[in-house]
Amino acid sequence: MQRVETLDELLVAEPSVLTPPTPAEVQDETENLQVLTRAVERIWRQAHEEVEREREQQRRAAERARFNLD
Amino acid sequence: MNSQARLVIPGAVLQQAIRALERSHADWLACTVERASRQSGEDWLTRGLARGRQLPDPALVVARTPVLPVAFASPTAVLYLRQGEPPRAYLLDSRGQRRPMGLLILAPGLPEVGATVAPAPDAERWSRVAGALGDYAWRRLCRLHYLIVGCGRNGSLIAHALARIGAHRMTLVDPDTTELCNLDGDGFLPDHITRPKADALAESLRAVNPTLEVQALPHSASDYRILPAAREADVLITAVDDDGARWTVAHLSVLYLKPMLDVGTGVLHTESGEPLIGADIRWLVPGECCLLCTGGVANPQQVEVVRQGLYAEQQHRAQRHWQRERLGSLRSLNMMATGLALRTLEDYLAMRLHTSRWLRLVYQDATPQLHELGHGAPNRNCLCAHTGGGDKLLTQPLDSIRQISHSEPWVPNPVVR
Ligand SMILES: [Zn+2]
Repeated sequence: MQRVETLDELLVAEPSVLTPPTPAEVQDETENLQVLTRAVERIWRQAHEEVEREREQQRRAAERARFNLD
Repeated sequence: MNSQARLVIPGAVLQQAIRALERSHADWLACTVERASRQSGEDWLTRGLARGRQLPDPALVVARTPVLPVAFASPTAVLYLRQGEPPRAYLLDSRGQRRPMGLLILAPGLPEVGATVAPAPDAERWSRVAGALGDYAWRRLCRLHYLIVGCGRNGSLIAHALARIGAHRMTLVDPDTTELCNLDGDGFLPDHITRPKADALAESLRAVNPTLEVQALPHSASDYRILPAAREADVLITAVDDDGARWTVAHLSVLYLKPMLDVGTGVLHTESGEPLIGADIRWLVPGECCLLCTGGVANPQQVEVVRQGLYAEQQHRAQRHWQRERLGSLRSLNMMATGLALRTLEDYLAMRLHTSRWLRLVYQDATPQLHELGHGAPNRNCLCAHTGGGDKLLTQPLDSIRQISHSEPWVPNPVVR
């Protein structure tokens, strides 16, 4: 299988647009990407926490008494 | 930046997918999608996690690795996620070539990348709004395309408020013509009487903001001619006095993954003779909830009428008389309700509001009270079953229709009952 480290190595370049984006548009898109990244991070964190809670609950449910001496 | 295809994924579905990845420690999983064409390209609408052993076609693959260990027979959307890196969407064709896709997540801020860039709004004219909302939220608010269904009091107030804070694109839907009693809405002039409300409102909006792209559709919400506009829009706004129209738009909202802002007001008769004055404002994000699981509709019979077709709907409209349904209308109440609706949208775009919301304003002994009623959750009997269903599920029957037509009428305010 192909060994690649980043997605960019795989993506086909977009056909060049007729008018290149202005610096303001580039800045907008950068900000949009930051907001999107943060949104996904937040969703990821919530999902991760939920799964951790589930695992903790399962672990507790699986616990059995171990100490049975006087 | 001019992506042909765009991946649209509800935040709630993305959360399910990530949860499943975390549980299984797998590198990727598949989701079901539907494709819907738009003027500017094609939307890949994410429906939910794929069940069963077979890969759905078409499919979205949510992957934690840039190289997928399988080949796909037909074009497949891939959402590549790696912690600490920006998420990327691309289309993998059957030859294994990858082309970038636009990406829209139905989450706070409605973040989107790879969209066609609309002209930058005039920062000087709207510096106050931008200052209050923050630059991102204001730009987002300006660049969203709003489909406003209902151009009466609430609809005209919302349209004018949006135009005045810099909104760039709007489509107005209303089958009625302007009458004398409509002049208490925003933008209507005596000259507009007998003209379609949607046209008259569009004209007044252009006067406020000549750069506004506004399209008027003098049709009913259930008319097939509004479908292209619904697919094109980013946010659907309902400001109607008919639950058939409200329900129709709610269905489009879940089918095409368009968040919906619904405003309903009322100055209603009560047995005590004291008018019941209130408003319901609902912000409904597909994947989280829909109109039916978040309060439903007050008049399910009107939904039945819409389902019988346009002719029945026209007959029904002709027979309706406002005095049987309400005491009257109050512009002051419309202003409060539309103000709350717009504030809700602003807060979601500014990422201060994190979920869908149902707000109720009600007057009790001349005192306004605001209730936060929370939002519903998808269930078997609501529209959520059609989330992301696109054109394919547009004409499919819904169990929910039977359910709502037999449910108890929803009473505007149980407190005063
Ligand atoms: Zn629902």
